[in-house]
Amino acid sequence: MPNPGWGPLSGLPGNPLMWVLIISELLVFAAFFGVFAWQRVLDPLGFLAGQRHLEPLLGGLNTLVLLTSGLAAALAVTQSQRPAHALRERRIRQWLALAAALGMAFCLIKAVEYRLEFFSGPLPNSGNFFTFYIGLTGFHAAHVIFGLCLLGVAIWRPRTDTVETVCAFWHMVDLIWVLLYPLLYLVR
Amino acid sequence: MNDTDTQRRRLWRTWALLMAMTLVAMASGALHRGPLAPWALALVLIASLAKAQQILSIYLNLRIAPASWRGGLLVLVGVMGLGLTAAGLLPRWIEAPGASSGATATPASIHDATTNITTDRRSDRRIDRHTERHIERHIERQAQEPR
Repeated sequence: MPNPGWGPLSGLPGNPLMWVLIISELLVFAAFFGVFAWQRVLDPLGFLAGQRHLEPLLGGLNTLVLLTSGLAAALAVTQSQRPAHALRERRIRQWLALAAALGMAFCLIKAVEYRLEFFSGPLPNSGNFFTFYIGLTGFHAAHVIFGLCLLGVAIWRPRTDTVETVCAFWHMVDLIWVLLYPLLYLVR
Repeated sequence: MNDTDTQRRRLWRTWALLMAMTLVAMASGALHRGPLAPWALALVLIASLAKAQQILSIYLNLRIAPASWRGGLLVLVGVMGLGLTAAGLLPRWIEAPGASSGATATPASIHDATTNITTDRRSDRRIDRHTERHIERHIERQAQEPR
């Protein structure tokens, strides 16, 4: 049991309270996905016009970047579970720093994408699509920024439980983007 | 080989799989600028849900968690996948009541256009002109409305 004394949450890796947060966030995004589907049924062509204004290549590139960042975070967790030796902390920090750097690259690509989509020509009037687009990607980006702050804490104090907890949050950010990307860019 | 090495190899394999599935989904989406052909839509949905499952099991390491948690979180991700699937399929099947795009631009017309694209292999890679005209008319009409 990774967390003895936490009742039903004791079998989960990392701090159980982080899992409460992860499950809440997944529920919030699941509700948004449902509302998005419903609004799309009401205005299919408006949503299609909005989707055609997006940059799917940059969205895909961001998926590749975030998944690689997730790999670096998972490797940091694996490293933190090894027996203590001279280079252990240094390697954990290196993997976490790589995860954070790729997280920053994600934010940078997103900023470039927003600029291309919103400041380089007229925006199609596509009903509610862009409200959802900005709302969902902005909310996700806020999670990325919060995750970057947490990664900073883990780099500062790379204890096994801290690294596991922070990386669990980071993978949740990953997981949401993996479903958000097809919802906004691909499924039409 | 110890457990950590096995775990690291598993992570790298999963990463390669996730990259491959992302590229497949990107390619399926890039083939059509209009509504996706049913096979492309199915490919995007399957690749996305498989990626989510891999992240839960391998990256988040839920393999070590009790079966109830694994199942519960998979159901939760499945609910999100259901939203994703609904966003892709419902507009093709349901006639929108009071759709803002008017009588000529119904979801049924999107479905017809999609069917035309997939049944004619020569036109598979180009935008369906019928749908294109509908979208342009819709954009023009909405652009003329005061914001």
